[in-house]
This record gives sequence, structure tokens and C-alpha cells, in this order.
Amino acid sequence: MDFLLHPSFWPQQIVNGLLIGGVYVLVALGFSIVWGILNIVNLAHGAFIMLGAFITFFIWDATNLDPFLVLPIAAAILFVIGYATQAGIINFVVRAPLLVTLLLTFGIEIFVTNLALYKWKADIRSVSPSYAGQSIELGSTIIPITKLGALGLACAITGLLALFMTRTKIGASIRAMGMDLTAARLMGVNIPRTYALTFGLGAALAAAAGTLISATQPFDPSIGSSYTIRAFVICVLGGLGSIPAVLVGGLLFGLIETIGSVVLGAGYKDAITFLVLVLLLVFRPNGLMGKEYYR
Amino acid sequence: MADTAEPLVRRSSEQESPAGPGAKKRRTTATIVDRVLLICALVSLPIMVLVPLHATGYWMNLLTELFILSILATAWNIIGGYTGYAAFGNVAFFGGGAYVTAELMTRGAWSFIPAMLAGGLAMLLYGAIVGLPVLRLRGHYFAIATLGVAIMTRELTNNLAIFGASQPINLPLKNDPNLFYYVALGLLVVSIIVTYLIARSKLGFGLVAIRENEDAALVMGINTTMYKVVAFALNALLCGLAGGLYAYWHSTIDPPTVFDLTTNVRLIIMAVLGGIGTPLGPVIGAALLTFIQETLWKNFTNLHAVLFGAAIVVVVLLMPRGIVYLVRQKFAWRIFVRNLRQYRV
Repeated sequence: MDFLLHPSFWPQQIVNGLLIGGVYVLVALGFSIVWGILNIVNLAHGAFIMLGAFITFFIWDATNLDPFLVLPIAAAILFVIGYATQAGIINFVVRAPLLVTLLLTFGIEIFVTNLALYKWKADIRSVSPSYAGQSIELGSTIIPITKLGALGLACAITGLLALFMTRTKIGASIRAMGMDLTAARLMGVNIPRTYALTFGLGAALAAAAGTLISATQPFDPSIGSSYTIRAFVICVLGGLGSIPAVLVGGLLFGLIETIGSVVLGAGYKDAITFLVLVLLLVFRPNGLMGKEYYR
Repeated sequence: MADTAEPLVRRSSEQESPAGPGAKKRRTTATIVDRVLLICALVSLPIMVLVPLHATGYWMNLLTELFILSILATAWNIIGGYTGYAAFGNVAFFGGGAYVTAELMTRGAWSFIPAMLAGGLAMLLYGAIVGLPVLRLRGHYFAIATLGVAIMTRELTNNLAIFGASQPINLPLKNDPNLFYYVALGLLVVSIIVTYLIARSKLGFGLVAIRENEDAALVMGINTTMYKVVAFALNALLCGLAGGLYAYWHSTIDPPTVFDLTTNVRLIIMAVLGGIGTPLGPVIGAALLTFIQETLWKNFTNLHAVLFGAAIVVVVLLMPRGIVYLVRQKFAWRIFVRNLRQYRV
């Protein structure tokens, strides 16, 4: 355990944790909105992330466009898919008991993941732009440039989303719907359309996360479910109901995962994560900064 | 949002009288259908007992697996169907039972039946210990906490040396399909009887009361914590027994197979497909889902998983309350249309 005392160890681990945490923020952001506002735990969220990663890969492969520039395209495509999914399928069971929506989104997850496996096979792919290997050195701490870009982009998108939710009319109607469905309807909010919009927004954010994942680490069609579970943990960690909570939860989760796996060995990574989760749920079920409504 | 969690099963306002526990001696369509189902089950039991005389290896395997899945779905029904708590971590008990049985049989040189029973009892205890804190949560939070317990259990098994540290454990080989078939069938019958007994007892009424309105149940003097923990532990016991049987039947177990998280969801889909909160629903659902899966597998080997996902979506949309509720009403195509409209936003 000598390496724990090495002066460059902790700064490097904290940087690594924050860098991966940035991606996790984006992974959980769409999930948090859909859960917090629509009260749907979207088990297909990870599948959307996977789709985002693959769309980025194929566009980058065909045109050699910078993956970070492909992000809006992937997000737009997934927005359409998400909108159609909610309007065409999930809207039919929104008021049903919890189990029904869980199973429905799980069915969608199986469908999408296996279709991707069938079409694209289980090959591991990665997007590597020309600057992929470069990094910044701060003292003895190494910061890979793509991961730094991903963190920056994740923070920027989080900020933009917060602005969108508070400063635009659509954002206001989405939040109103999350607070009181009936009142929102009385105020003239088109509920089915706003539901679909919110879900599409969640899928677009998933695509953005997928783009960042594709640019920073290898992926294959089956990555989805592990990200769904992480998104869930992050939402519980930060607390449901606000965008800053996701930011805190995501970064904290990145730190816990990175440091836990280095200190205790990679095998215990998931065990630690879920022990934290269960304890947190039992003692602080609303998360570190949960709120009653989505604000 | 923790306190806005909805009950799993909506209060039955329109068509049917409440399932099992609430059924009065009125001869509604529902009670008649339930009785017909029970008679069907009783008739099919001797047929099932005689199957091994004629069946091929394929059918023996398929039926044994079907029985094990039915036990799991029936066990889940106690906590998920009657009590209304969406447990997503039952593989923790399935895999735990498998591992305890395997350890006792390899290291302890126990014989199969005592080892399986010990596995079940160990899971009863584990379920009670885990359930006590976790059952304080409701709705989605309970679901994810149980999922967390399952993943944690898998990871601990994966890493601890006493459980073989991710190396597969080999149990003594036993090439006797009849033994596994009959033990599986016996366990299934026991779990269905347990469900019937629960449904007709004070415990069952209490559980349904908790499902419909937990706060009201508490006010009415039900010790909700104890009732929930008992239901959860019974569920864990049955899962553990099934796991022990599975371990000896497969003779090789490792964490990824016995703690497979998709099994969790599969068995819940079985229960929902059949009809949750009914004693025989999960078994019917298990049979139907296995049939669908086998058919898809035979006819569309490459695409079977894709079609399976699509099948789940269709089933959930058209009959969110399962087959038992469907046949309880007079069958008509417009029931599907009504189901589709029922929960629309």
C-alpha cells in the first residue's frame, strides 16, 4: 500500500475521478429528468447512450468529422427516436403502476441492444481523433486532452440545460408538468406532447453522453445496461429533483468509483458502489441534495 | 418523490372482484375462472408426474428449467404481487442458495437434499437481515436497493476466496434427470401451496392491505414491518431452494450465471404476464414465456432476442395485468383496446 503515500498519487486519482465523473454527469442527466419529471425509470436509457456512441462512431468513420462536432447530430437523431418512443409507446402506460413502465422500458432495452448486436456484432470499437493520445501535464499529474474536453463539454451541456429549463417557455412547462400535472394541463400545457418532448430531451442527453463515451473509451453494443445502473446510482446519490444534484452526484460517483477500485482492487469496485448506494438509500433516501419537485 | 410511489397493483375499481384473499363466496366470473384454473392445475399434476416415463431429454430439460423459473416467479409473487414491493434482486437469493448448497456439497460432503434445505434456510435468514433495512424504502427506491443487494452479493461472491473467487465450482456429477425433475416439481407444488396458504391467512390479508395502502394498514394495527419482512424472507427461502436445486442440476456454477440480472427481470415478466397477486398466475406466465422464447429461438435464431424484446413491449401494452385477469373478464378483442387506453396520459 506504499503507492497510497506517493505525492503524485492522490492528485492523479482525483483528476481521473473528476474526468470520468464529467461523463457520468451527462450519463445521469437525461435519466434524472425523465425520472424526476415523468416518474418513469427508463431502463432503455443505457441503450440510447449506446446508440449515441455508435452514431458518433459511424459519422466519424465516414466523414472523419471531429467527434465533439458530431455530438449535436447524434443528439438530434436520438431526440427524434426518444420523442417517437414516448409518443408512440410509453405514453400509453404512463399512468400505469410502476412495474408496467419498468417492464416496458426493459423490453425496449432488450429490443434495441439486441438489434444493435445483430447489426453491428459484438466488436469493440473506439473513436480516436488525431489528438487522442495527447495530454496536458500539470506537475506530475497527467490530464488526457479528450477526457478534459469531455468534462468541459459535460459541464457546458449541464449549464445549458439548466438555462433551458429555467429561461424558456418549454422548460417552464416541463417543470410545471413535473410539479402538478392537472394544474399544468389547466394552464394550457399540452401534456402528451410535453411528455414526448421531455423524453426526447432525455434521449438526446443520453446521445451526448454516448458521444463522450465513444471519444474517451472503447465500447460495444452491450455497454448500455451498466450505464443505466450507474445513472440510477448517481440520481440516488445526488438526489432527484434538480440539475445541480446530478452534477454533484456524477462527479462524486466518478471519484468513489475511481478511488475505490484503485485502493481496494478493481474487483471490489461494484461491491463498494452498491454498498454505498444501499446504505445511502436506507439512511438518506432523498439523496444528498434531493428536492420534492424538479426545479 | 419517495412518498409519491404508487402501489404496484391499482385498486380494483371496475371489472373484477379482488384476487384470492378478498374473494367472497359470490359466484362471480372471477371466482369461477379461478376455480377452473385450480382444477386445471390439479388435473395437470398427475400428467406432470407421469411425463418422465415418455419424455425425451430435451423435454425433461425444458420442463425442469420451466419448473425452476416457475418457483422463482411464484416466490417473487409473494413480495411483488401480494405485497406490492417490486423486488429486483431475487437473483441474490437464487445465487446465494446455489452457492451455499455447492459449498456444503463440495467442502462439507453433505448430501443433496439437506444441502439444498440448508441453502434455503440460509437465504431465509439473509432475506430477513437484508429486508429489515431495505423494506423501509418504497417504489423505485426499493427496486434499485434490491438490485443493489443482488449486484453486491454477486461481487462479494466474485471476490471472496471462500466462494472460489470467481472460479466456477464443480459439484458432484449426477446423471439422473428424473431426480431433478421430481424435486423441481415438488418444490413448485410446495411454493404454490405456500402461496395459497398465505393468500387465505391473516398474513395474506395484511400483505394485500399493505399493497393497497400501507399507511392505512399501519393505522389499522398491522405490524407492517414484520409482515413485509416475513413476505420477503419467504420469497428468499423459495429462491434459495430453487438455487440449490439449480446448482446440483447444472453441476457447475459461477457468479455470472447464478447471479444473472436478466433472470430477475425475466421472472418478473413471467409473473406480470400471468397475473400478479394470483396464486397460479406466475406459473401460467412462466409456461407461456418459456413457450414464446423456445418458439422464437427455433424459428428466428439470429433475431430471437430482438423479437423477445418486442414481445415484452406488446404484452405489457395489451395486457398490463396479465392473462388471469384477461380470462376473468369475458374475452373480447376490445379488452385489448381498453387496456391500451386505460393508462394513457
